[in-house]
Amino acid sequence: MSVKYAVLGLLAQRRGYGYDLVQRFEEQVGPAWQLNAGAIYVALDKLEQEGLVRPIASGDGDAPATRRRTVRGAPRVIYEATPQGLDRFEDWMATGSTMSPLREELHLKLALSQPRNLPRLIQLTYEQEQACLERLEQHLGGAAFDDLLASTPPWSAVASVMVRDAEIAHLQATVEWLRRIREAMRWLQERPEALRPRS
Amino acid sequence: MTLLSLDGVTKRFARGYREVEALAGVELDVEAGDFVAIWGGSRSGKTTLLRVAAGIESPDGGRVVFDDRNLATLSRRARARLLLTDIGCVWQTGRITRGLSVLDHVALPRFKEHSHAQARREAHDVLERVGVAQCANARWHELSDGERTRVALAHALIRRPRLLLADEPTANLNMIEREQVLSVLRSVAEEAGVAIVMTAPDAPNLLQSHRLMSLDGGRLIKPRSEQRGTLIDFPSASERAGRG
Repeated sequence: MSVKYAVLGLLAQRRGYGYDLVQRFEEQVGPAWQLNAGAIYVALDKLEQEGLVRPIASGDGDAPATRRRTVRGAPRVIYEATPQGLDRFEDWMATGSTMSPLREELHLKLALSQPRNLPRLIQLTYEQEQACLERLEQHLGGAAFDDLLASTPPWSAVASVMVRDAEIAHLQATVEWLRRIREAMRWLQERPEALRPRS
Repeated sequence: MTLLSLDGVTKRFARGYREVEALAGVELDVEAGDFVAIWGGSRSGKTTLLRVAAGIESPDGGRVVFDDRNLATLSRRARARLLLTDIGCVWQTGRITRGLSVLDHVALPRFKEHSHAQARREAHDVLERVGVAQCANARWHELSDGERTRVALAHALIRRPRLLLADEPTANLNMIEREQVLSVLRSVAEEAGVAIVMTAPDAPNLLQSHRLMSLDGGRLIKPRSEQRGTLIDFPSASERAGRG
């Protein structure tokens, strides 16, 4: 899974512990990913098993910085990337990226609908568009891609805005799609003779 | 305080043999200092919405209230006066006064109250702010589409309107110009307390605003935080046919 490589990449930047990695992931990748914090710990376990990361020894003789404790008092384990880990991360950066399938509940409802569902389906397109606006609202006032390039920003800022822009682009495409299918459904609704029920 | 309020506004046009519903029950409240962005494609009704809000077009149903005055109760003359004072508009098909340079066109609204030199100085400042000071001596036919939009914006801003209605002010601009225009709009709203309603055809141009909504088929779709009541409940075509 790609979260595994993201964790490896974060540790390649600098060492860190679980919660710190969760925060850095959120900060650099953005909220659109909707990371499940548990996935970070699963990834750390896997990476450790594969010898790609290792905990920094946490014996009694440790430097104080590595012996800070978690809220519940368990020792906080700090990880770093091993040399093999750094190599593996570079390999991953060099390979092609897979694309996730597009899975939306609305797609299933559309696929399994009947002509009599038309009024509700049209209503659903409005509700979905409303949901898209709510997601877009979270980006209000944020650094737009364009504004950013007009200045001379650090790469990390450009990178995170590019990822953010992916969500904006996705939401825009979704709204445009909703408007298209809504127009089509309205058109059909006014011409019931054009519709045959599923046989 | 609510400066502009559209209350159940409807507007129909005959297009060929069909009647088109350009606005279908639009509800919108805009306060001083608000920067509202409306996302709509072509034929969504966004230009009609701005024209109705400006009092240029009368709604078929519902009310448009500006500064506690129902625009329908005002005379044509009073509405025209509002457009010269409190309501500034930027249209995509803007024109400048025939025979004038860009600078004089923008300075024109100030000539009455100020010396020409001072009006021109002021005009130059506004042109600079929207990034077209280099066009000051140009004539209309010499301007690009993006420059024309920004000259129209300067012309609207110099009168210090309380409400600014801008139809796709970021069309035909490159990314640096777009950023400049959006940041001028934002600061005019935040610093001068001007209420702004702007339209844009795509998402990136909406995100410098304070509030965003979408217009499709004359229906205004808002995030739930903006929606009065629980959910949008639009009449279906058959219901509308039954009523009409």
